[in-house]
Amino acid sequence: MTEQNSNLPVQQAEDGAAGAAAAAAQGRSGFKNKAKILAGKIWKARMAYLFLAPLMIGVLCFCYYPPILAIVRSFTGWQIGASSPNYTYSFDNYIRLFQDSVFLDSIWNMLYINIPKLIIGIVVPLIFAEMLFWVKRKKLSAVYRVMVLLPIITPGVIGTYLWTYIYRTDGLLNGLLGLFGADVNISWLNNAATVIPAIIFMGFPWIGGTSVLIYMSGLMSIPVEVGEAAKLDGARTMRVIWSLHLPSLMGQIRYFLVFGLIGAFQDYGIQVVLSGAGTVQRDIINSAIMVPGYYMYTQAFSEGNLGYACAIGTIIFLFVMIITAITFKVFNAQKFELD
Amino acid sequence: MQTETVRRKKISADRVRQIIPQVILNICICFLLFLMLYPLAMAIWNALKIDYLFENTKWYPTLPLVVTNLIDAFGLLDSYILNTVEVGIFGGGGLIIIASISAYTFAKMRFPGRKAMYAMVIALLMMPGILTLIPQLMIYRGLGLTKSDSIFSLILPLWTSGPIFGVFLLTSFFRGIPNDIFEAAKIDGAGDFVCYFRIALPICMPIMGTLAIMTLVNIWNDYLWPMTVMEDRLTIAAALVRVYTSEHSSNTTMQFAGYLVSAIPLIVLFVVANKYYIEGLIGSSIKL
Repeated sequence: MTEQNSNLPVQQAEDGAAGAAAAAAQGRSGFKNKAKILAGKIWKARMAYLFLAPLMIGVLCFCYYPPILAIVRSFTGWQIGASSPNYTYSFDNYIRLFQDSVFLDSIWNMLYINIPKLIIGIVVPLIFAEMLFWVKRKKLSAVYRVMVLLPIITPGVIGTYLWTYIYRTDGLLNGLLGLFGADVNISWLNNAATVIPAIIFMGFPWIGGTSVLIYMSGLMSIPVEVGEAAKLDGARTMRVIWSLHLPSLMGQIRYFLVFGLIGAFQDYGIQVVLSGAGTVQRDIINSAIMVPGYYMYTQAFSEGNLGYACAIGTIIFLFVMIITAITFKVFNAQKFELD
Repeated sequence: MQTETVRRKKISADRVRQIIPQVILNICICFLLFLMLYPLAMAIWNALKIDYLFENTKWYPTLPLVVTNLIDAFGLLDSYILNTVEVGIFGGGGLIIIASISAYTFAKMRFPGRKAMYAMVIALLMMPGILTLIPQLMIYRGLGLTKSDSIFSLILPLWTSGPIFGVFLLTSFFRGIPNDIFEAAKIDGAGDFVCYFRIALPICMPIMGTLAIMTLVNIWNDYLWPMTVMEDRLTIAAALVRVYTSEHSSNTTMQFAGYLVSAIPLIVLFVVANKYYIEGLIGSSIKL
């Protein structure tokens, strides 16, 4: 990246030099001059600002303004449909929130559901990408790659619905267990004791989608000569994986971990899907698999307690920020900065 | 002569030693792929099944295949599919234009505030979207978009918060293009926009294709926002969740037919573009 840095567009480098000379010449009114130079630079780069305008306007109005509004309103008793916006600010929502047993339990549910899911989502595609990597027939490997992507052709909710058939009382899982002599007759998703494992197990063997291919891209970017050298050294497969592949894939693992964590803390899609079709009873959703995100959703759109919902959102937001900051510190990720 | 046969035997023994692990590996892969694809296959054969056969034979395919359920389901879902296609074309198209020109600007142009603005955009990748849900809905209500059930309330988020990931993906890609090309073009009198449109874009077609497919898949999958903001003009996933599945809860084959129908546009997209997509993903080196 330093290479590119030194190749700054010629014109602008000259610009800077000229500006510096001018500043030295008229050293007296330094600040005024600096402002002038900056204004000149900005004018020179007006095309850049024009190009960025659509993005920046959208980002400011629809990505920065709403969360700020949410945090401000989380201190009010904002109700849906309340006509006169006469807000009084207090900590009431937060005090109530930390005495709300539904919310406190939902945090544990969220961890029980999403931590295993996160680990599975990172590890299993990695293992499968390794398996595909060692396939020698290039044609077969290409076919496998296409098949791995096949599940993306159906909307994700369909995957969930299909799994609800597997989990029904007369479903495939009970049938399979019956084959092995176990006479099981439960509706896996409608049972407080089994619903969380059932949700985690959904999507088994968890290899469909883009993750495997993202890992493959990491594996294929390892220079072939390095792999060949390892092979000549007589390194065993396991050793190549452990000391060559894994270190090279850290970037991908970090990516899945950080974005997986951010997603995990706020995820409530499965609750919406399962309650929408009436496949799972209300009280299961409202207790056994209630998560903070879904609690916020119901508080806002079923109960109309928008201020309270914003408080829940703010707490989730703080959680995610802290976790992300820690992961970034631990992994020392700096990929986000421009050179 | 004798040594020759010995050598041959040795080679074949070596080959066997190489082949056996490969065979085992391939069998394992095929088995896992089978498990993965089984629910999808189940959707397909149950969508094509005669109703009375379903109860006893739902776990495996049977003949004859009938398409009446598919046709019925298409009649019920076509307006939602059209909606989604519309959102995909306008929303997704805008997203890609905004993301690519912004990424080019960040990667290849120099201007005051460049780093700060980039950091501002990229920080949003880390921002949990859940906090924006409620105020955003209120903003859309304030703009009068929800009252008229305007499809614009599905398109606008794609133009505003949608491009963020694209900017992240494309900026690192544009940075990989050597500056010399652009400098040469500038000496020949090309402006910034020409550099972007004529040089940067053609080079980045595969990764743009990947971004396009990712975007379309996301639009196809999203049900939370459409369910929150729209009354009737839902996208397909939202329609499946809110309307279709509960309306046909007693008719399972009809449900499966709906699932299959809703996947048709993506199946077409996949058949046309999977090579592009895979190439782009493999070449993208998405990481942190």
